[in-house]
Amino acid sequence: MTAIQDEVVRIICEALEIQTSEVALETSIRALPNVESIRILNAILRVEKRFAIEIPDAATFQVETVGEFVELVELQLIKNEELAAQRERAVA
Amino acid sequence: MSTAIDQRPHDLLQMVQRASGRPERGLRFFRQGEETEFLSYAQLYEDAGRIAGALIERGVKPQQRIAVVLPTSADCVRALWGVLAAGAVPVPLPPPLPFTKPRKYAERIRGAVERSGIRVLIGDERLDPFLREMGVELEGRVQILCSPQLRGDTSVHRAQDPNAAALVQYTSGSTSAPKGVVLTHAQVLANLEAIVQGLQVGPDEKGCSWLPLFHDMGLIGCLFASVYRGIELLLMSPEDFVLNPAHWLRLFSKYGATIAAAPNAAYLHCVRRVSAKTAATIDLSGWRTAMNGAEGVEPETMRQFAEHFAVSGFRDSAFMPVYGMAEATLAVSFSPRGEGVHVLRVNRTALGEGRVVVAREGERDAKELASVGTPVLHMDVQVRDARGHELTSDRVGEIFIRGASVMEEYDRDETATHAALKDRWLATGDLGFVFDGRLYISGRRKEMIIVRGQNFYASDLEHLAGQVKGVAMDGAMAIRVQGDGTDSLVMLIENRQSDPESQKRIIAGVREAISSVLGVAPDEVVLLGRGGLARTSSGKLERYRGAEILLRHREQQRQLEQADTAPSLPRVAKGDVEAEAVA
Repeated sequence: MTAIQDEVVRIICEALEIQTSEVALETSIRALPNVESIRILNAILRVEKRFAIEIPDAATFQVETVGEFVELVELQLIKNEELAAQRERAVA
Repeated sequence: MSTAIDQRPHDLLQMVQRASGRPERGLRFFRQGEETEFLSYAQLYEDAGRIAGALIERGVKPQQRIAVVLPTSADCVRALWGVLAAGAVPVPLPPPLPFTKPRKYAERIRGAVERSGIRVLIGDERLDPFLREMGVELEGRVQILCSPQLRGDTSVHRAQDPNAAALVQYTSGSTSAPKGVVLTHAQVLANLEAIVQGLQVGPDEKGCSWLPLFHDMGLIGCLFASVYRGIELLLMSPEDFVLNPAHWLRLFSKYGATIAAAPNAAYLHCVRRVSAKTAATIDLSGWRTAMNGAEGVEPETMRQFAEHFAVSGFRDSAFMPVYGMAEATLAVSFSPRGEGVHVLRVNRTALGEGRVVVAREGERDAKELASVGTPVLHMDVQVRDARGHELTSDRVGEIFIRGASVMEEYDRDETATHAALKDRWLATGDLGFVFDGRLYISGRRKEMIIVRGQNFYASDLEHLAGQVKGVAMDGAMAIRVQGDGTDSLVMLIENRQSDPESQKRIIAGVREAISSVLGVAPDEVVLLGRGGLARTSSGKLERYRGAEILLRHREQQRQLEQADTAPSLPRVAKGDVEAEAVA
């Protein structure tokens, strides 16, 4: 697993209070134990904070598995980098 | 007290028009503690007309059912009244959940869409791609409109018939047993008058709510009641509340809210999630009325909350246990305002046998029940035995209600309507009794499971689990287990698998099927062998025996564990299993 994958899985497990051994990239998030809405929201919020990204509500409706969620995080990170690069160019 | 309300409105649209007389009054929306939008009642009335104009341009007819699937927002409120202004009937349905795809969401609302013949659904911009995909899922039969784009060239406020349908409230939206309570303007207004009088709402009070607007308590009890009385209402999303309940509590300190309602589990959530340190920074001394309803009212939770927030100036006399249901519009019975929780300790064994015997001091076999007060205005309540005879007080029976705000039909469902109503009396399915003139609820409808403040039909849960590969058709039973402050949901599953991998797959499948459609996670999924569930001779599930099956299963597990050579940790029970009183 990549560092981002590891980190997202760790946060999900923390929020749901489960072991990382229960989670694989192809696992549906809704199939994990303790998937209460509060815990799901917590996981999203923690991931947002950890990576300093904002995950649009609509995007979470396109995602089902842990792996897809990781991809979504990566996508937002790329967007952030692009924005930062734009800003740098604007300043220069 | 006099009603202090001049010129009672005849319909839900007039109600907003009347409230708009005070331009500074309206709805304030909050996100994570910050105010994001103010919608005055005057603006709401105007916006509703514009939306109605747009709907009529698109061919919407009077009395047509229109689904509103928006999260708590000004757009959601505008859409509700826009539909009303067009003379159509709003059907509020839950918006989609994160990590579910359109296919699953369509499954959640399909029952309601089909039952009520919904052809138009109002959603929101952020959900646009999602809703478009959902339109495909519903085979294009439903036109999906985006609320911010709904602004007609003309403003229309169609005349309303007080005896025509004003609202359809779904108590269950999914496929197995969708039931939509049809309510007329007159019925809703009768209940709003009862609520406002029961609460003795002053002209300058403020409401504050995080309850979802697609459920009766949030929609009728908070939103409609505030508009009816013309008071300000502070609104935040359920998500914000669950993430940080302090956001809700701060609305009392910072914005002077005085009235709020929440289920028992929410008060417990506050105790668990708000630290004593934070509690000390919050001022709850202005909180006058704290309604507790929608699920069982636990005296112990109320005590914990009052103790935890005493430092915030919370007064336990603010507690107000209430009882209600969508079929009654909302309110059935209210405790008197300002009296706090009235607790009765009864003998548990006698209660199980249907008798109310006050427990002796120090008696171990006792159960505490909180009274839910007396019937609200225009509401009759009877407790009846299995043959339909009214019982004297001190006897447990089924609660029946009749009154000006009680529904007369489920939407397009004669069978369900006939089963629920007899001579205008509605069988609630709840068990209870009257003692010393006060009503107590001792058991909930057998087919209804209430977890963390939300109601679920056992049949819906079982239907979803039954579709999982490896689970036999009709091989699932949903039961609730009484726990500390709130109940937990246990799914009992019959299956033939014996290898651990397949078993794990079934358990994950059941969790996913239920969570992605209904948003609730079973606390436990228990696998039983074939024939492990109790059935009648005709094959019907006997849910009342669920607790007994679970106990026996746990006992067997314990014996198996003890039989293992290595000493193992004791299995942690998820709350006490307690068979419910059955009439």
